[in-house]
Amino acid sequence: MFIIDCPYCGKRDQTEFSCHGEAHIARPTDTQNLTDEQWGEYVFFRSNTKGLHRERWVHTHGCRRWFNALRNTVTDEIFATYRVGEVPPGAAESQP
Amino acid sequence: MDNLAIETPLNAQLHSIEGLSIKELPICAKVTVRGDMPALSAAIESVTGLPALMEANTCTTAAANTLYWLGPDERLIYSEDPTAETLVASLREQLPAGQSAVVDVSDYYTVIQISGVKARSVIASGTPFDVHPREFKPGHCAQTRFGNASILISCREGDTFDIQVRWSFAEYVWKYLCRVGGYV
Amino acid sequence: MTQAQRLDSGGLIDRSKPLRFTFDGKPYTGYAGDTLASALLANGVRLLGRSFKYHRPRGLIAAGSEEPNALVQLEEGAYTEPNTRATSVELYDGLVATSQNRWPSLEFDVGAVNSALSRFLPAGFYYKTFMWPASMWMTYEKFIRKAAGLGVSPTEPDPDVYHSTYAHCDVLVIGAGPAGLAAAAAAATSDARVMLVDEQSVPGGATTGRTLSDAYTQWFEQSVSQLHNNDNVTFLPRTTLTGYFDYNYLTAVEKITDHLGPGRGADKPRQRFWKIRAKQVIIAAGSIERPLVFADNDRPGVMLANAVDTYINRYGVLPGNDIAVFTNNDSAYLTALNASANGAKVTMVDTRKSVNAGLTSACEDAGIKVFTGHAITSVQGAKGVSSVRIMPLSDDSKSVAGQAWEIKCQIVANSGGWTPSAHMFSQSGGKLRYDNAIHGFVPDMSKAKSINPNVSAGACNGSFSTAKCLQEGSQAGVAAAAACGYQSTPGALPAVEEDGLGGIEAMWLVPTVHPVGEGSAKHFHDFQNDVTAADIHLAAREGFLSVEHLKRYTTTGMATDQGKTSNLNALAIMADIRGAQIPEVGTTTFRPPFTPLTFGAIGGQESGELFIQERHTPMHGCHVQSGAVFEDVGDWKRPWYYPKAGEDMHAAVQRESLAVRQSVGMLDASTLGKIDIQGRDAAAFLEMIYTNNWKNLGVGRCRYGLMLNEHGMIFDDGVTTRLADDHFHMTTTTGGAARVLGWLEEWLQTEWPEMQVYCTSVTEQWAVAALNGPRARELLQSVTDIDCSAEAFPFMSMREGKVAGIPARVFRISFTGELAYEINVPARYGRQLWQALQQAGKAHSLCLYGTETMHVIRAEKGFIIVGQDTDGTVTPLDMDMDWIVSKTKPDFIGKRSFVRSDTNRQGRPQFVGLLTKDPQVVLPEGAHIVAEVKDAPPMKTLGHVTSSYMSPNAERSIALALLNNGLQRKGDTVTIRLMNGDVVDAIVTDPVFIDKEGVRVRG
Repeated sequence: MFIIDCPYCGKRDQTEFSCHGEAHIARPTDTQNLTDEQWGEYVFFRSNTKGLHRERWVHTHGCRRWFNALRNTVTDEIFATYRVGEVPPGAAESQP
Repeated sequence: MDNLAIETPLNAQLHSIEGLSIKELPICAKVTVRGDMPALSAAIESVTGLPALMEANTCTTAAANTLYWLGPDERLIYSEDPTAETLVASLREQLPAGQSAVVDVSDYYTVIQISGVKARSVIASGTPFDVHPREFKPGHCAQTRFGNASILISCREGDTFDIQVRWSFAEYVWKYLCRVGGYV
Repeated sequence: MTQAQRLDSGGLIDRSKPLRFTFDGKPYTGYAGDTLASALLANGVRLLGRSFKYHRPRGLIAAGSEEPNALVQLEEGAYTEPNTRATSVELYDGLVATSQNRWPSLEFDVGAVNSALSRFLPAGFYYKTFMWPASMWMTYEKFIRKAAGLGVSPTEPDPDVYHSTYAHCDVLVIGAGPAGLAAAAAAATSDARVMLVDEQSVPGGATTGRTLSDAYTQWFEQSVSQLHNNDNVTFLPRTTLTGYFDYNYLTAVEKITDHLGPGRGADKPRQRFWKIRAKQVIIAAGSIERPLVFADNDRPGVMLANAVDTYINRYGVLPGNDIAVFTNNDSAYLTALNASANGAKVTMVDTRKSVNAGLTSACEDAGIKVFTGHAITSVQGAKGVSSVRIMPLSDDSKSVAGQAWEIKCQIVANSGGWTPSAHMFSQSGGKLRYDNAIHGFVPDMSKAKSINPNVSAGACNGSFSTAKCLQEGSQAGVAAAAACGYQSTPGALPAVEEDGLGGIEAMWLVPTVHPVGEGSAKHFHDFQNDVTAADIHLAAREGFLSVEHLKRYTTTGMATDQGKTSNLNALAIMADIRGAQIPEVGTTTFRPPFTPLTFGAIGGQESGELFIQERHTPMHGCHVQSGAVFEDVGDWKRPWYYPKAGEDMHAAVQRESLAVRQSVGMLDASTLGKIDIQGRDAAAFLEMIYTNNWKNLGVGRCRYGLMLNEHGMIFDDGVTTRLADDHFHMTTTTGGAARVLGWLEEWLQTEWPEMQVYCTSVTEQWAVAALNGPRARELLQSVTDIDCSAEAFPFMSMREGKVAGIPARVFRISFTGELAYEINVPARYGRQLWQALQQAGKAHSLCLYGTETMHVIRAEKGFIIVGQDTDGTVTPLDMDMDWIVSKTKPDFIGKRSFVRSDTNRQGRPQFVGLLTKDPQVVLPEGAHIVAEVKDAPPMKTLGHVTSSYMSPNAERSIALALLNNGLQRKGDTVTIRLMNGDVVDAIVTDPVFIDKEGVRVRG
């Protein structure tokens, strides 16, 4: 049962939050000109990372804000939480 | 409207045992304001007399109004008026059109006040949020979970707390508080 | 029998408070302060149960929660509880316990034939024997379960109440032995918030009942009293830490009234479940003695050495008058001396060839005969030890040879060494390391999990002496408080004599005159699951070499005691067979719970009406008064139908359905989700969220919208109204309200943060009465100042005014295909609105109707219910709703998926109506339309019925269905094969059964 540091409310119990999977998957803007493969990539495929994972959370029972977390999926250590639009911590070195 | 009786989900019930008192507060005006707070702050202050640029998880009271921090772009205003018409109108007038939201939620929520030496233990039975007096003091508020309900809890003074809950969850939270009152 | 084994003095029991109890119907007496185990032992009862697999007679092995054997059925009727450890049950007056796993009686058990047949019941027996044929497993299982049952579950509802609570602290200390007490005492000298939990009724841990030194006694009493009196400290006795989860979230069960007996706790909860969040955890859980594995070491009377000590010291019970002490280490010498001092005739058998001379001479002084380099090779006495045979060990200690001695005894106190209780550290994600000095696994702090800050102190860290426990505990307490930002000022620790005896020489499997597995003797290492050393040998022969395979194949360590006394012995025996080191075999991961706990405690107060919230609308009381039968819709209680006297559901629904189309009906629609949407980009936002156009919607006008996910599948629907240029009122399905709000916020916050749009749930702000039917207008007009004429208030528009004197928003929208108005008033006036309309409705033949009629009526019009007629795999095109999909908008959520190959393919399920050839037959919802009827499934399915009713307005049954390629099949006859084998023919039709032109709604 995690403690999650909401960027707005501070540290709270995991049961106040919901997780919504991988972060930083931007919706394509020019949807009608995408190939099926490109569209399928956006709709269906996720990295399913073992290790450091950037993921979206929402503070459901709190401020209802969405934010991102950098979590190790093996140890569940959450290294950082950051607001939508902010650059993920350590992005420069870990960006695929 | 004057001759209309106002009802609340718990009809102002009171539950009182040694060390614990639980009651539903009379209905009051409740208005949600959303938008870019630095931009809206002056307008909110001019209507409520309260500064909208406030610390997270705090609430502040002046005269008939109380202002709650709900999120970076969201505040909740309580006013002692039974209806929010005037408050909504003055806020809409002051706030920049199209760049904010003002919503009457007076009936969406009700407020259960719980007080007494057992109050903190009763609350701790349902919420993972730490309400120890060191952590949760007068002027503090928090949106969290109580059992299966989302609540806004605020510390009024010492061992007195207001729990704001959605109308349809009021009975559940009420029963929960009363039952646990007998266990702590 | 009058407590023949009770000592005249000593122990923490109160001899002035006798307590009566029964075991297997026989009355006994014990004293306040006893456990059920100590009281039985005081009465000379050694046979307590039959074992799991072989039904062998079994007695007590331990004195604490690690007890594997002495599981009893406690109490009767609603209060009965199976598998309680007699060692953990505090005695109370009137206690009723019965033995388990025996039939017809404990003394004579039919199942004991399993023991005689044991050579045919090896490890893996069930896997091997009952595998084939698979279809017979269901038959075998019943018999296996009957034979294997451990205790009986109660069949009545639990009469007790339970409490669960969250708790937060800076420092949580697990265990109130010397280490834990020292830790808590030190931390509590700071301002830190400290919790101290211990499973026993009194603090002291392994020292309970022992006198170490005056200084220790004084320190102990002072520490305990200071902890009790410190407001920053929560000190919980009778509280077992059951689980250690991530981010230092730990759960514990506090037994509040169990020790008083059933029904005697007044209105107090029986148990409290603590959900603790600790900044720092100090594990001071002590250690568990492990048995030696020797021939027939499961005879009742064979006990752990420290258990004998505990029964003497804490409970004033001498387990037997003649005691053989069998050991491979020094600690059992204390037991021998203690038992001897309390009047027992003691013989010492030590597998080691040379022993500390101080110990042997102390024994000689006490008149204890010591056999070094000897082993017990057999135990006599099936239902209770009568004697043991000992023989000298060979030079390599792998076999026995030479003179055998017979020693008369009732008790064999044995010690194979001490296993640090690393359960909590392991549960926290930490890895263990093997310590050769103590022959046991200890926490490896270099492999602790960083998100769970903890430290182990005392015996659970491999530090067995009391002095070391005190020192480590105190240091841990100071460090933990400091890590939370608090400065401690711990007091001086008391001087105690060195008592942590070691000198262990490994002896994992004690040889006897036959090789293991041959002869009739059994070497048990796991008593609760009846696993022997021979089973480990068998597992090794069959290739189950790793610990995970070994465990599952032999079931060692998999019983309710989780192998507290057996795990290390099993690993060591396997290591020996493989010629490997113990760490190479591995160690099992400990999992919660530490000891079994009740479901009641986990549920706490959240039972009955607090299990799931019941949500009520402001009109709920009116529905109750009107005799409504309620339906669960999400968490809501909605009126399902309103039966009149003598009506069943069918009759009520038929009546209500006719009334809606013939006069006027009223439905409580308050539960529909409502979302207030404001901001200058609101219309642009709706264009992305819904499939149709929104920018051109006039102020005061309403429009139906369909929401899709990116897969192009229908996700929710509802009517949205434009209140102002930049202000909308959206409605959602009842069940979808929270999901839709979350969906809107997700897009706004994560994808389009530049949009100025704000969504606020207002579901409960508004109470909603829906009037539907040809007489709706006249009824509404009679109570409102709004002009309800068709010209002034057209279909799909909204007006504000007063209804019955109440400020209202009235929406002229319809989910029935009838002339309809949805009247929204602030919730505070909901009941008044309802009552006023009910009153006024008398003149207009108003009929209340519930959700079932709503379903029938909308199906007559072919209106879909998202989640019933759709299932997350259908597009608007599949639902024949392409009229609502904009062809001009460049983009909206889900649009691109319409041209995916799968959404485009021929043969997709499509939404159609079905009319059965026999109009009286109502198809079951979910029934399959099949390509070809066969005698039994499987049959190729072409689709299924999604909605089906008897329609009084169509005067026949109607159904809606998803049928492959359905839109092209209208007019075809299809075949539906029912579960009972019946076959029904139906004609595929348009899904609109009433008023196809839609005249009524616009009336």
